[in-house]
Amino acid sequence: MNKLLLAVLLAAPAVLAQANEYAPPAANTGSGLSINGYGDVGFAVAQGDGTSFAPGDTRIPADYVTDPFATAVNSRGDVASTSTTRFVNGFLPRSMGIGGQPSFMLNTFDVDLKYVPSVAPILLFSRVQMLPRFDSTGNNTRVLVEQAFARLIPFSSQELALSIGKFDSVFGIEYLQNESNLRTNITPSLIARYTTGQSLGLKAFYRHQIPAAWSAVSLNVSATNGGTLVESLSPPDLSVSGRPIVSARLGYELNLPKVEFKAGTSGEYGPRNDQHGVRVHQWVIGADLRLVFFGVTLEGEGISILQDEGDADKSNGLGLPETLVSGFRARGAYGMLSYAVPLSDGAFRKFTPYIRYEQRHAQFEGLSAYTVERLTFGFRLELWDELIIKAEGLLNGEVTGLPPVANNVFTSSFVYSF
Amino acid sequence: MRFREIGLLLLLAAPFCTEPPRAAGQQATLTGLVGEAAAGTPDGKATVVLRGQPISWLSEPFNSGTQTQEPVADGLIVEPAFTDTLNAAFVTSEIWDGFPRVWSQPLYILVQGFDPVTGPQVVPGSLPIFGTPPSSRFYSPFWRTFYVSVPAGFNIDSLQSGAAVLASGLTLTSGPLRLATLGPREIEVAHPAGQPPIHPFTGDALTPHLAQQAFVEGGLTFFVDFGNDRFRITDANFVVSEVALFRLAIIGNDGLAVDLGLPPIIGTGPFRAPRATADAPNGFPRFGALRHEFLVEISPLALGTTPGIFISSSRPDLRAAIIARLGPLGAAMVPTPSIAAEQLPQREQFTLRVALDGTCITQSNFPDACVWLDTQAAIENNLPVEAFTDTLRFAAGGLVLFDGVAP
Repeated sequence: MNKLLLAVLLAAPAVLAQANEYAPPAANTGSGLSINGYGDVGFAVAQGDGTSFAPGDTRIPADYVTDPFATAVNSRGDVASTSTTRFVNGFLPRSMGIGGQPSFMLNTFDVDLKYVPSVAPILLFSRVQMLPRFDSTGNNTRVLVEQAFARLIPFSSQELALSIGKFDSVFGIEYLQNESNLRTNITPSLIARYTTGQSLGLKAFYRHQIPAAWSAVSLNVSATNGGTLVESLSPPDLSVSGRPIVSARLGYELNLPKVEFKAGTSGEYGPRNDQHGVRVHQWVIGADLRLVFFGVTLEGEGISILQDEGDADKSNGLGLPETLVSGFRARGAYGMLSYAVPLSDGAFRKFTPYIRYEQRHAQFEGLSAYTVERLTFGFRLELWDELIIKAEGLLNGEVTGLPPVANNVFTSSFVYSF
Repeated sequence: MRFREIGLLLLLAAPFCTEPPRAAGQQATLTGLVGEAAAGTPDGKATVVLRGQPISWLSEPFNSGTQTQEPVADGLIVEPAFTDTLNAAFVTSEIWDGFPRVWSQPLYILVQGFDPVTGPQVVPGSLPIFGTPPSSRFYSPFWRTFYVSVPAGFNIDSLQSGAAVLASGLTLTSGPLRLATLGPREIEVAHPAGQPPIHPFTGDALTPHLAQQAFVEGGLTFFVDFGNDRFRITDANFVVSEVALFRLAIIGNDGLAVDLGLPPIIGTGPFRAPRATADAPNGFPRFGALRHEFLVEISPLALGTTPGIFISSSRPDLRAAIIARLGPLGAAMVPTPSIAAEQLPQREQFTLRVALDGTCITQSNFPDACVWLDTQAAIENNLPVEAFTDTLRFAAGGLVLFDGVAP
């Protein structure tokens, strides 16, 4: 019994980090509404014009012959700029619109509302985010309901949670760090665009503890509108294709007193939600690994995605006019090493330097494949329990198939939580 | 309870059974059209004639006898047309169905300098480098030329793709727009063995346009060059400017418009936006290479008059074939030309041209009495709105004859 308790306690930080993951029923606590959140203020500068479009390149679509996600400047994956006069076909991230100019940015102002009634085994959660933006078209501020779900825990004796609404991804492990107050570093990986998107639908999480082996196995399954691609690539708020996308992760975790090890394999299948055809599918498979020992965290993830070619009815989160649904395949992986150095119980709590290396290989229908790489390095400094300061450098490189472009980034983030 | 469950299941299953209509987004490249010709599809047979096969417009019933494509190369079929009152002819090398637009792409030409008189000096032994392959649906035969200034001693073998050119960092200088279709090695403008390509009715000789070698995406390819300044683009987004093409039709038994197979009318601008004069500096058409196709119903009920198709009595087989194609309307819509019309030396200029009121063909003051449906304005101004059906099809290919010039 003690072992079970210990295992649960060791698992708790990661579990509690995400409100929609499983947490034991809140027994003997009164009902109540809690309001939490965070603000993320950044400062960044990117090389060149802030995009990844090579000067002199006039090929079309512009976003098919570079990686427009490379110049990320915040934890949402927003890039410094996507501005171009060339035609683009919707393979784009959101943009902060700072171009090549250094600028302060209010990346996210987040408010979380959580309600847990005293008599019912449910949790109601909403995450609303204000995203102040200004670009060449003027004020482009958005209010985003990133999550809104109800979660039911039907059996007090089983770690089974059923959710309905809009919630986080179930694919891999990087989505656990979607929010900037939770993420060790600042910017998402090059493959985060395929695995970290929120979506709307149903989800079931089940975990079976194996106390004798200090282990647990878990299964997280969802059927949603948009799958796990980020919202600029696959809109989550309605089913464009008319059929759900099924995603799942099968995980194993070992929770020893000084060592935590997690591994999982994920998969996703269903019709692409950036078009209307029910026979135009996408497949994603992936594997993830996380090892934590004595303050050192080693984590990595790899994925492979294949999207069918469709018709001329592309419709995604960027509101671009409907154009061609191109066949697409990509694979990529990252590995990240970080070391959390405890500092004190006073103002300076913890200092975490980190380094990440990653590659992504992609090919659009009919075009040559290309490979890009990125080296990310930086630190995270925690002040008291409420403040986090992060600074990060991104060295982007074109390995094969793309013309070189100066698109390195320095970015920083000041996060306060409440 | 049981019925409720069944109802719920049916409700849940409903979205799985239907699929809303959507734009097709299908592209046929020149290589694809050659394959379609071999498979005998309508698009393939209308655009490409395989080697040794009869050239439809040069054979019966349009011309006497049977003319076959030369035995060593396939041919791009020369289709007669009218544009801006004039006889014209065009070929079709690409087709897009359900595409929102067609984009131009970069073409790189290696040069060693620019002569003030003769212009760019192409590096000897170098080949053009096309920026996008036909395997991409963003491919088109509409290219924006960039001259790549190559210094002496530079290894040009390293430049075989757009990415390699850009990665080289060599200076790029913008050049003219160029119409060139990538495809198989053995293809050219259709013609019988030992003869040049010609207009089917006027007999004007056309330019053969033989295939040449180039690079695309690091590999060798072939292209048929239709030359510079054959189209326009919107500079802001590189979208190719289209013109309307009208294929004349009648309503079939199923209520749908049926193409009569007559020479179409190529507009000078987009639908409802013709240019006042044809865009053809020095006689070379800068329009007509990208055509947005419409079917236009010309049955008497649609027009309020009985239109007439001019076919000389000296072409009895063609008259019989068109009359048969028109069915019950045939006798009325293919009137017997007047003696004056038959004696007109240039009467072949009017072959298969359609008059709004066919009685003019029987008059002694032919052709002055005729209002011909041979310009975009004449089509759009004289026919009711309901007569037009947008086929959602773009077709590409150069005009190979316009106003007596064979570019």
